[in-house]
Amino acid sequence: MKTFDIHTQKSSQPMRVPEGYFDNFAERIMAQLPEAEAPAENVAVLQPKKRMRWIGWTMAIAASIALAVVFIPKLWNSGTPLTGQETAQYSADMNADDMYEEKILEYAMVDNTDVYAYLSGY
Amino acid sequence: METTNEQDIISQLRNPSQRRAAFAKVVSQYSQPLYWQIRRMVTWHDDADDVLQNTFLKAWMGIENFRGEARLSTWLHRIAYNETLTFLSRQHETISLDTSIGDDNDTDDDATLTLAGTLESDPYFDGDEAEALLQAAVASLPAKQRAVFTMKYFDEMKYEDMTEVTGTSVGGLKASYHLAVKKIEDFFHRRE
Repeated sequence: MKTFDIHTQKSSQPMRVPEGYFDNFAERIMAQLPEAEAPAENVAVLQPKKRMRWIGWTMAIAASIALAVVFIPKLWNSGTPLTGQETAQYSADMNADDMYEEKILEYAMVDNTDVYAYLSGY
Repeated sequence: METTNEQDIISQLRNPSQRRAAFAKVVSQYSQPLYWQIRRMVTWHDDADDVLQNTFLKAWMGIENFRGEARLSTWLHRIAYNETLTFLSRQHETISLDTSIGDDNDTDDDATLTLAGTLESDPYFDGDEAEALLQAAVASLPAKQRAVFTMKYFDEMKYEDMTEVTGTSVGGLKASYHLAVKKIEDFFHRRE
């Protein structure tokens, strides 16, 4: 088996290229370059998935605030039974919250399919 | 080949109306040195061609970010180096065989010998068995050691210039070169 002493031998640089490779290369690469010269990577584009995530976070925060508004006073008063008037008031508040969320979803044009897609991570 | 003054090219590259023509000059001027830098690391012509094309595409897309702090040639060699490392890392992921050598593993040596055999039959390789073994041993090094070894041994680059291309300290480069030489020596010693 032949050996190679890299301390005393110098490589003969045995690699070759196809004939005319460098003659045609510049023409070939210039034909591939896009006309638009602005660096695309510097342009921040909100991708659909990211937009979906943004809507999801907004919905989650809005829902958390609504739940906090509804349940925190209830927890504080948990030792005291609710009167009929308080029950009606809570019920009205919750209905109002539901309607508010529906309005947000309608405004953002998010339907159930989108919500399921977001929740499943797609 | 006519070498265009670097400052002239840089000022033309900054001018949108002259940019494309100036870039054509850059491609003509630097395609050969960049090709050989890449080819010695990736071994095969077709791979070197792909990486070289990506290098120039990346350079074109990022030309507005080139501020002239480094020399144009250094900037291009740095892009080529990074593109080559990316290519080798993707290649490593797709090849299940671990190609690192120097750990007295017969399987690694067998893979290197197989590569040397394939190289000898490659139409774009014109060396004898010893040269094929050297190239195969180099190709079997981890990517960064391979880069350092090829720049130092084949291109005879100074460590200071290599630092600008690789972003690694001179001490780190010397250590990598020493390790690469040791692994290649060990490979040939095991063949004796």
